[in-house]
Amino acid sequence: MHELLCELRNLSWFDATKPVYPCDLSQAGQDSAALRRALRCNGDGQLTLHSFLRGGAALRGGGPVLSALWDTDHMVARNKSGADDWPSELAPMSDWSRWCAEHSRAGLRLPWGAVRTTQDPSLSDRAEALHQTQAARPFHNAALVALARGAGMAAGLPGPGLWTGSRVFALMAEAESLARRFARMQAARPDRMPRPAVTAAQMTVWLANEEGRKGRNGDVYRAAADELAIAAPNLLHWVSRANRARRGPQRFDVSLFLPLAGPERQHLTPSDLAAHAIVAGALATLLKAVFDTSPRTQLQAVGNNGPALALEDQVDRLAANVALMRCVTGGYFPAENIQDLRLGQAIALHLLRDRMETDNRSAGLAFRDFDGRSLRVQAHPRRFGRGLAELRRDAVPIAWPQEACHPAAHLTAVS
Amino acid sequence: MTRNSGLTRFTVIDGGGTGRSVRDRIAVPEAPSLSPPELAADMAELFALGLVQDLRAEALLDPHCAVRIDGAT
Repeated sequence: MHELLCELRNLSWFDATKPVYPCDLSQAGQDSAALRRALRCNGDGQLTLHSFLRGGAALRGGGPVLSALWDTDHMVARNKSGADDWPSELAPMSDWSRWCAEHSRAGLRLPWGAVRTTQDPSLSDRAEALHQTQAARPFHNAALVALARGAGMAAGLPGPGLWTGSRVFALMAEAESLARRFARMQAARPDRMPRPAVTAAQMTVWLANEEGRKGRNGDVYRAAADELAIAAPNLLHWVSRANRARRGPQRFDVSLFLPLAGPERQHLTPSDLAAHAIVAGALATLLKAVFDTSPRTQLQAVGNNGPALALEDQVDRLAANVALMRCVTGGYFPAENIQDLRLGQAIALHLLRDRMETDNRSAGLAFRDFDGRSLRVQAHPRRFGRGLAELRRDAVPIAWPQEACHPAAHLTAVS
Repeated sequence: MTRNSGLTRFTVIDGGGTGRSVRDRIAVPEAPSLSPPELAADMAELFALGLVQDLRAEALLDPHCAVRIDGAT
């Protein structure tokens, strides 16, 4: 592992002696490239094993790579309700429990009804399991467990009866639906990045000095391939050997094909996980925002299981793990994971804003975003109609993320 | 809203944000634009994760953990 890490550190993007971009998240600001670089490095601007495995979120402290919520994730027997739409916010939790079992196969683990998922000892086994997992299921399970343990709602929310478990699940269902919609829109965009497998094949051709197809950004790919060959030759050598071991004899000396998998795992297509990171970003943000994640509450709720089940940290890790697994099977770039998690976060923030403005009551939600900064959604009531919700990051008012421009109202007179 | 009064017709086209659904409030971000160093780093990360995919997640934090490339190593 150490040699592998050294090869990565040789690349200029990870080279702490070449601070092309600021490594401090507070300096990164809105510069997305700087933010992406800062997420890969520790506080000293160095790539470490911990930062390498972050999966696109600024996880607090060290701790294990995987969220404890993976181990509590499970499937329940599917209900045959046949209902396509989700229940209303006012529906009882029993309706939502049935909907979860039908929709994502999430549910409370019962001794006679639960079907345990396979224990996945390796990263590739876990990634393969994720390909077969409904994107929302781990988050539905986490929410059901939190509610069953009596976890309270965030202290800043208005009194009992308004923010209930049913409302949380209604928000999660709406967020998932929006996330899937945006994932489809992203996939249909003409400026979408090519898949890593395509880029890897192009790099193989570039490095063999054969004439490749001239696509858009051809110079960028060629320059990237050259940098890999110069700065990380051992990495390319290892990848070539791994490709020969898994795929058989190769035509090229340097074979960088992705995924690094034999025939048994080549059925795992990137489209399986197209919406997973956006869904994870949205549902993780909702759980962090709506549930009371203060340290005092965590200590009470954890019980005998130790501090590893602090909800905010584990939900962040779960979302980051989903993003990491998308990279393990070679379907998505780390940069896409970072963007998708934040798109999901934006979806959740807009949903919370909508609900809080509709309620028209004084309310506040505070939590950490995926960049480790503190976010606060504050709602102010008005005399009539909808209230006004504002977003603050580190106590500074900011614009709502990913907000679409809207046309101003027009008054037109036609005689 | 359209009102007809005599020979003059007033048409109000309300493009304000209050009536928009959450779906319409969110813009799809542009795909990340990667510079050559970042693209090289992203590809290197994918290659590295592909090489360590047969390890258990907990083992990845051990710098002395052996990574098996093929049958020989």
